[in-house]
Amino acid sequence: MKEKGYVMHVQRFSLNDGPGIRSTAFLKGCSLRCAWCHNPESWKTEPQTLYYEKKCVHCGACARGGAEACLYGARVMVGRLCSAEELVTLLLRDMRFFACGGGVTFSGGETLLQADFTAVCLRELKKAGVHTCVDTALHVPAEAVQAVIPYTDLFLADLKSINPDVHRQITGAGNHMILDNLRLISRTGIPMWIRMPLAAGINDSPEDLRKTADFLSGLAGVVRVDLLPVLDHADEKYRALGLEPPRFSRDVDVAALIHRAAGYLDTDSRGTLPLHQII
Amino acid sequence: MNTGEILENFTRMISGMEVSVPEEGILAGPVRPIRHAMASSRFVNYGIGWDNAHFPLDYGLLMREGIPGIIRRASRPAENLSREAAEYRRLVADCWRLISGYIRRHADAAEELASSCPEDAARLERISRNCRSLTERPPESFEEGLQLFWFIWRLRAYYTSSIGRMDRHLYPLYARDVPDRISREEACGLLIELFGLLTAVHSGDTLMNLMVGGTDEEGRDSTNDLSLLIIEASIRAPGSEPHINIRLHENSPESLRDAAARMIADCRGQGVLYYDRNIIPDLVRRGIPVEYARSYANDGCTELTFDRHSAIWFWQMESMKTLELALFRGTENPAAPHSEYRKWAAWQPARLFESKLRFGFDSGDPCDCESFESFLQLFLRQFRYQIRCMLEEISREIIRNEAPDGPLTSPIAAGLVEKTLDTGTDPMRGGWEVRNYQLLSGSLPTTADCLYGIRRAVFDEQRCTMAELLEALQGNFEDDEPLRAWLKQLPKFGNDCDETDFLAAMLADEFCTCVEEYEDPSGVMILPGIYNIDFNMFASVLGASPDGRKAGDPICAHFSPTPGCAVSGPTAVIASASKAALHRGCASSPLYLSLPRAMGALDLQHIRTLIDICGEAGLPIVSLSVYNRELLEDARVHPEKHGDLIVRVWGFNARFVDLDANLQDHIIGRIL
Repeated sequence: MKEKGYVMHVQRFSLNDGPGIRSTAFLKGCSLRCAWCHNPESWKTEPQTLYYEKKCVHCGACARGGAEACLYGARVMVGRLCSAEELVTLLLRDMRFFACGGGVTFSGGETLLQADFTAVCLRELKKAGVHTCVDTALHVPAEAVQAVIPYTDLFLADLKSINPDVHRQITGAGNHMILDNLRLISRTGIPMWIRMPLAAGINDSPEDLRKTADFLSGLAGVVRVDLLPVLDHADEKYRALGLEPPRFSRDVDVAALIHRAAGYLDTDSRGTLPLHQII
Repeated sequence: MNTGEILENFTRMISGMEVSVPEEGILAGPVRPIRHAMASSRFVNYGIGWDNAHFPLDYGLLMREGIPGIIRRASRPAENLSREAAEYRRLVADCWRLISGYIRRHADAAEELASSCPEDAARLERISRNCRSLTERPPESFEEGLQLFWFIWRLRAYYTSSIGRMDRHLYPLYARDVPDRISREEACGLLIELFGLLTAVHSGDTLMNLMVGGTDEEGRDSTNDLSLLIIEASIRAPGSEPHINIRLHENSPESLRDAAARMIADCRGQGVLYYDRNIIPDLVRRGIPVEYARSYANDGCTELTFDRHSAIWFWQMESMKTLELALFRGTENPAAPHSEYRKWAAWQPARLFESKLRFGFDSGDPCDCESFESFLQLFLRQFRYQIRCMLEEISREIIRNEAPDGPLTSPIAAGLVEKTLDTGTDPMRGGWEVRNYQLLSGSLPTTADCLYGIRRAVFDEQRCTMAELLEALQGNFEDDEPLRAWLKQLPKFGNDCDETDFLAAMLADEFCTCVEEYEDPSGVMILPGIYNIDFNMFASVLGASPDGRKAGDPICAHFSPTPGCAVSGPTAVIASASKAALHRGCASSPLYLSLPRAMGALDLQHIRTLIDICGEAGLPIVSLSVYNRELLEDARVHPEKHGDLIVRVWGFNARFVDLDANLQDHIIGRIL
């Protein structure tokens, strides 16, 4: 396992990235620039520094020792080159929790931009008997998807808009490759959860949602569709990168937005509800 | 105090007790909120003999024999009794006769009210009938059983007491009634009424621990429908009492595990989990007969008692203060605060707190240590010394308790000990089969974080000398902020970091070994527990510490991470705790795991998984809670809006708004 990859973060007890209790590896680098992105620090593949001005006590340690010398979490290094062996070892630390329907998810950024690294890690995890998910926006060449197919139990695949113009407008790229990759996965029979971020007035037009429903009904393996409202969650991170935070879904009835969209999708549409909505 | 004085005091106590027939509901007997009594300085010891109220009585015996049976057994002729034993037995019988008379007064009062209140006569006559029956025979219905429990529980201690395995003791009456005589729903209503009365006592650190599930003495699963109904009633009842504890083992039914998950998801800190597999074998290893080990429940907090077979005595030795004594050569950090504290509630009077550690033992000059290993040995000398001092203190207490002229146990408690009824043996001197004396460790994980800080700062990276570190601690880091910040950001226990976790595990092992190897002159096997009770009070008398903690900042509870230090999620916390052989701390070694309610898509299945895995990971006791952090924070600012918020404190649940501010901080700080 000599392969190395750029890893942004490993989240243990991850409950939103597939079934059960999981550990999620977020890899760095992304091929899309979604307007509402919650993880702008994931765009570049290389490690970078975030600066949280509010936490800075102006001690000057960073001037002498770089971001790693910061003791107050004001300068934070995001991303590091990590070997597959190291990453898999870390992911396996929660092995005992995976037995009850959980496992490991590779996410990003776009994990399939580092498809070979992802595939090696997944292969080792499968050897250890772990359930594997790949959470991807699929804006990658087909070969990248094919590289992980043998080791993937479940795909969590984003579909931001069925409409290529809208897709380009909100992500900076068309959706041709994405739809082709969804068809590719469909042919393998590997189950998929489709995840659709919804921004009011942007990608929720009835016509596009109807087309989405038609498209999904032609795919095998779609076992679940998650409709995820786009919210402003990442203001601090944008500022820490010196960027202006985007504004979405302000003053929007999110529940109504999801309910209306679910009505168009002739599928078992359910969001991943937090505890207080279930109990 | 002799039997004559106790009888005199008991008579005065009973005659002064109010007779209380409820305006609604069916359970008679006074509530008397403790808060009112304490605030008005009427908190008195009646002088009716020893009973620390921290252990459950044999309520099974109470249900089987009833009051007349207890009086009969204590009065039955017995040969070859010493004069003392005969006198003590007579005292027990006399006191239970007084109890019977007190209950009869309720029967009479309810009957009189019924005659003057025809529209409510049916209910009042029912109360009267129940009470009168209890003076004539054992209870014959679930309702009578609950009524009898409530009277005895209420009389036993002026304030509050432990409850024990109610699902075992009341099940025969429950099974007789449900569903043929009353519906399950009606039984639930009765439980909710009882729980309402317990809540109305409003005692803060309430000791009202109730255990469900587990096994019988032969090791068979003893979960029954009443176990599940108690959990259901607790979820439906609006108050904080009683505190529900759930014993799980390999053969516990899915229904019990599911009920535990539902209770935890209810966000009120209810449902502490006890894993038999990680508790019973070590109790047996410590010499407790297996049938008694299998009967364990918990006391007023989380420590184990042996339901029907023991009382409990416990001492705590704070390891963080011990570290301070090691660093300052047997004295406190000169800058250690001596602020006043409140034990738990904002309405209690503030007092100065004493650590009960022995000052003056110089375990060596830390500045002479040339390696971390030599410093560790220096600390362990102090640690072992303090443990030894505490153990010797316990031994002296055992001798006092077991001396022929030792204190007499309260006749209420003694009346529910089979051997005492038959032989007049005081429970403390042979009536209870298990001599349950415990030593608790204090805050080992925070201590481990401190040791790790010393290792990195002074020895591995030489950021400062030991003398400079001590100076920084004396100055509360006021002039050493960069050092404090650096210490603070080092890995801490609770993040699955081997360096800190194995230090904590080593301390736990060392503590248990010291306790296990101690030979008590009276032959008692003192039980070790990785546990602390007054962590917030100890924090208030601790100076700054080498984990980057400033004076007065919180220390951890039990074997849990220091508040705010676990940043890698609950699986990492479980992994950290599971590196220690916590089962050795068989008196009680709990982990607190508080999850935020808004944690992703957290659902019942995730909680179920955590419940199962904690047991598989070797943890003996887990307080798994889900809290709404935003709500708790709002409750600090607007207590008037959140009177119904209930949280787990150390071994008890309380209304969040009643707690002292530093305990409120601790509870919010624990949330991952």
